[in-house]
Amino acid sequence: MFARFKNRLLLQWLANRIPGQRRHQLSIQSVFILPTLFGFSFMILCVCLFILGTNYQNNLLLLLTYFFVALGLINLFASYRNFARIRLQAKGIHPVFAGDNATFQMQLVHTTDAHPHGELKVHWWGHATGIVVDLDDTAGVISLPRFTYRRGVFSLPRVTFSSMYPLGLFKCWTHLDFTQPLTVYPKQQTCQVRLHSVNDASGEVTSHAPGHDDFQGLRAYSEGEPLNRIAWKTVARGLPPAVKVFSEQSGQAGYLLIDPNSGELEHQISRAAFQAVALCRQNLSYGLKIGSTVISQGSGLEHRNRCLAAMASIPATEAANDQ
Amino acid sequence: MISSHLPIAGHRASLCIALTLGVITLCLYQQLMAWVLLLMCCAVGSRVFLFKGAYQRAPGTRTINMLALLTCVALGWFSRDQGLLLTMVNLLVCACALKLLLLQKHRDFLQVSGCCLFLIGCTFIFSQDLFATILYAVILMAALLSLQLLYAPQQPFKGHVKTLLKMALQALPIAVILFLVLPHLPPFWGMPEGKSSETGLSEKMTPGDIANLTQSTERVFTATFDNALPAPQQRYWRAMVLEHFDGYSWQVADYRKARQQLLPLMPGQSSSEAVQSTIDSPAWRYQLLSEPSGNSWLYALGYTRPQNSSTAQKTWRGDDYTLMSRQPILSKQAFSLVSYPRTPLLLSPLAQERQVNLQYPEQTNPRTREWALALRLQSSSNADYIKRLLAYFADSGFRYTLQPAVMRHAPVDAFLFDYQAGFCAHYASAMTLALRIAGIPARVVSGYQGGQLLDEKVLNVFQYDAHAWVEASIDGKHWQRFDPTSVVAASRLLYGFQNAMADQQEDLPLFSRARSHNSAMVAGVYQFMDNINYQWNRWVLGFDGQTQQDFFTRILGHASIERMTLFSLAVVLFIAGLLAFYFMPRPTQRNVKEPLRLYQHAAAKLHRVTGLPRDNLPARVYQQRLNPLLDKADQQALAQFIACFEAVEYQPEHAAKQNLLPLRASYKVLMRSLKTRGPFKPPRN
Repeated sequence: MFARFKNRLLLQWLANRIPGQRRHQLSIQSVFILPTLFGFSFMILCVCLFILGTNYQNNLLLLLTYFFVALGLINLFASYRNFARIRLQAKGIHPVFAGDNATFQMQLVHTTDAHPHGELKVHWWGHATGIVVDLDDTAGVISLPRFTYRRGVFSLPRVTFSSMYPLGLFKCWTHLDFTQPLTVYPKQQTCQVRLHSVNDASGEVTSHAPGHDDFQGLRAYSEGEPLNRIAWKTVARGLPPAVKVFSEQSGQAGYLLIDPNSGELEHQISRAAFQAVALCRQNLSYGLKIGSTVISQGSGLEHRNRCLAAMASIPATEAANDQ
Repeated sequence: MISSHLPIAGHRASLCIALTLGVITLCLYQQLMAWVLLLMCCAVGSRVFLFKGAYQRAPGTRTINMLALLTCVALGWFSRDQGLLLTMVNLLVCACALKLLLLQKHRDFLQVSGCCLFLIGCTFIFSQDLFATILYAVILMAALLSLQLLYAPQQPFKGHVKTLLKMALQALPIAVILFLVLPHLPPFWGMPEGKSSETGLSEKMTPGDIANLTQSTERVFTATFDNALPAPQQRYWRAMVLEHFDGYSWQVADYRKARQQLLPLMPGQSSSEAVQSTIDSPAWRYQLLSEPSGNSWLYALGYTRPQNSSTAQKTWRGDDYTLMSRQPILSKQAFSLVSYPRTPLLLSPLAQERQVNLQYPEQTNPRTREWALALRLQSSSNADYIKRLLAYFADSGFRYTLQPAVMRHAPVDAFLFDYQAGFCAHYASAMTLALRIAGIPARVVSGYQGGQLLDEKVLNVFQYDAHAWVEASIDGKHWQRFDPTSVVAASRLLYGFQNAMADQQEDLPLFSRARSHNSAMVAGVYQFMDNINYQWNRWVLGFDGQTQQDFFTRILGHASIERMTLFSLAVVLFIAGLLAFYFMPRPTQRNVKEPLRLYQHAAAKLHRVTGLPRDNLPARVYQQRLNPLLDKADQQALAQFIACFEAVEYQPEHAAKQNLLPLRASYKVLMRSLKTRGPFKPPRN
């Protein structure tokens, strides 16, 4: 409870301090820096050396101690400067189905003269683990995976970057918001493909499976047609290959239906998603009707993605929220 | 995903830290036990093999724990004859070696590097000369490099070195400022000592046992005189007074030791006594820079007092006029002293001192006793007796040698009557005994005699200058110095040990310092190195609270609180300024060529004067537009300038170079003619 409250306050403060942007140039505004555990141990080491040097009246030991102190001071600035050289730009994130890993890609933008060095830890806000990128090594693209659980359209959380270069005495870090939306398509649930015909005037719905029943006849095979349409029986008889032709009730039929008020909304959506993917694979045309919103008929990957995005953005019912 | 596990093969950081530790261990070989050295070598070796990928499996935690247990037991066992400090160093090295074998996680690595940095600090306890310092600085860089390798594994090696050196060079001035400015505190508490070395003087002298005096060329101390040096025959540096004689060896008397424990607890001792005639008598003021000896005795020329309060705090004087440091000298330390050669050393009014200085075992050296008693009877006075005694040494064929025969039984008898050859300890021992037999209080003083001139006012004293002589009290009130050795080998006194021993050098190593007097070049090299070392010792190692005070006084005049505050503020500001200088972003260098820059300046000026912006117009077009707004002179100057500019920009390079000068000239003309016009004011409607 308290932790969640603190988290919210922190995020609010961060939103003011480092506003979300597609491009980020790190600066004094956005970089945080504190000594690491090793940095604190280093200070203790300095104290020990100072005591040793004073007790043995050893000037070189004292000089070494002061050198360490000065080095720590220099390190504070050096590690900040190195970190502040990082420039990042969001490349976007591809939608995925719930339960898959989405990959968020960021581009490191380098200027020629000031190149940041060292290992960069990248992880999502609040996550303990993430990936390590070597700034001297990468071609400039950072791909950060994110596991998805639920369908929906989310804004990506902040990404935390941290670096301890050069000597590990100080840790520089920042939390960047790239203001990128992540669309998570519904999980697919295997089922029979059933399209519904919608009578626009009456809203009456009749259900039928698309173009599978109404066998119209055969026509000669031409190259490139799907294999599952070939009439293998005729081929077996030694005749030239022919393709089965089905009658399609274009115009009024072929909608996937989702009732947003239904009790088993999530199942409906999952099944619709499966069907949309299956229909797209078969290159058939279909439409989508969610309550009163209608996506008219179409085919192809783009159409499929539009339908899936629409399904992702259906507000979840109370029951689904509780899950 | 982030893994805290380190890679094994090809991990440069692990290899670097391993090699660094290996080198440190080799540097510390004198302090480490052989098996610890071996352990570290194994650890480094296995790291190298792991790096090469020759085998993949690092030893497991259980194995290492077993080893650690064994190591602890062994260290505990040896700790008794090692002393605390050395045990700690050994322990640290062992821990590093074992951790090195178990380098699995980031945390392990950081622990090892922390220990490594601390070890580098520890090495400075044991050696501080310039060359060692340079070596340790390199090692320090390697340790830091390995840390950096951990955090940037893919950065090219050259880049690493460059970054690191840059940081070190940036840190160095700040470190030096802190060193100069921060107060040099007195020790907080006493520290465990290393095992004191056996070379040099000791509290017990047994002349009969020594068959071959080792000639150590280690430096003992350096004395820098403020004014004139004492003459060679006056350079008797007293270190210890040996009063107890058991017939064989001389040592510090027990009652003296008891007094030595008592005296430091009584501050302000003897400030009243013996300040007598010191004011107007000649004095030698000098800074004594002692090498670490692990002992607390210091070296003083006769009656000596500290010159300032910081030395006074560090030292105390025994009532045998020897000077002691309150802490054992474990690192180079400077003492400011003043000696008064004319001030007599007084015999203590306590009866005990007289008694101890007359005591001798009557049975051990019977022949000496008989001979001395007879000689005393022949002499008219104590002074006459001493004269006859010295004459005996001079006339009876005594020889000075560093390879005397071993004299275990009745050593003084054997020396005086059988062998008649020995070194200073034999002579001092024999004479003191003879004096005591005659009822004259006498004692052996050991210390150093002579020294090598580094330059006009600087004297280096080496271990081979160790000497022993006699102090006797003829009148029962004052101690007087006698050196029987000088009677036999006068040259030793006048020209130093080096020349006196010129005929005994065949068995010295070729390039040793003791031999360097034969070859001018070797001597020159030694002289040069001595000089560098001397400056290093004096200015770096000898920089103490007193020097710092002087430094402040020189800068600030008298140090008042306001001035000190302002000064510290200035120092902080200076450091901040340094940091700003290092890290303030600099304006990126303009790489616009000169003609274009002139052209842009001119265009900007014209814009300001006429209110007409150039707006990417070609030069000619812009000129045409401007013409109506300019007067005749300006127009001409502008036309000239544009012509020159075109000549430079749009012609082949060799021609362009020729036209650069006219361009500059025309630019100046244009600017001068535009200068008369004020900035453009938009007309008011």
